Amino acid sequence: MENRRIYNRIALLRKEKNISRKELADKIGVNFQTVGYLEREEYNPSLDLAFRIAEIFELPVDVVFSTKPFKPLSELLKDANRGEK
Amino acid sequence: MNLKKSRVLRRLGVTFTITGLLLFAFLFEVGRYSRWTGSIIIPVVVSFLLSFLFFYFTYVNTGLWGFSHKKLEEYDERELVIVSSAARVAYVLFTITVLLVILVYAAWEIRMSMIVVFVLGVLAHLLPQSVIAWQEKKIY
Repeated sequence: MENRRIYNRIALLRKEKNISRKELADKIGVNFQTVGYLEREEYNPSLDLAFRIAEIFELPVDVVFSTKPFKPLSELLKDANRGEK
Repeated sequence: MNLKKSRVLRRLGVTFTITGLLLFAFLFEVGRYSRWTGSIIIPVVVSFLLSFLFFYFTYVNTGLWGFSHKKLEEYDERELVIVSSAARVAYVLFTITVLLVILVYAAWEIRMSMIVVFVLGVLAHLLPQSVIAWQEKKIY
């Protein structure tokens, strides 16, 4: 079975929370290089790991992971502005 | 030249280590059957030393040896995938190698020496690590 790509916002959320790869790795119980693989979307996490990551960022799992590419932040902000108007 | 980062160098290291090891076994067998006449002992020793040298730089110095000798519970899920898929490939390669060696010995009706058994044992241990060294982009 060929794995499909799972997109994620780990790098963005990690920078926003100002935590290092090593700190995040320790919190979710993996080696720090695995965080790098996850951020580069070179490795798809298990469901358990995906939930652990989402719990660290206190967000629903579908906000952190998606099967479709995430919109850039600028586009999301534009959409939000349009919604307000 | 960093073997941890360069897959090409790692692949060369793996090739030289395994070739050196097989050459050592082959030359030892040649020496055994030629009753150690001539200067066969020198290539036997040189091939073993070269193989050991390449083994040190490719496996020990890169941390690959340490990585593949961790306790099972120390691996995270990504590392488990790497280790188990490497073991699967290594199993196939080792089985083919052993069957070929047995076939050659059976065809020529010769006795296998302890050195060949030793080299096969080392190869069984080295192959999973070799597959990781061959496939992984980076070794940490």
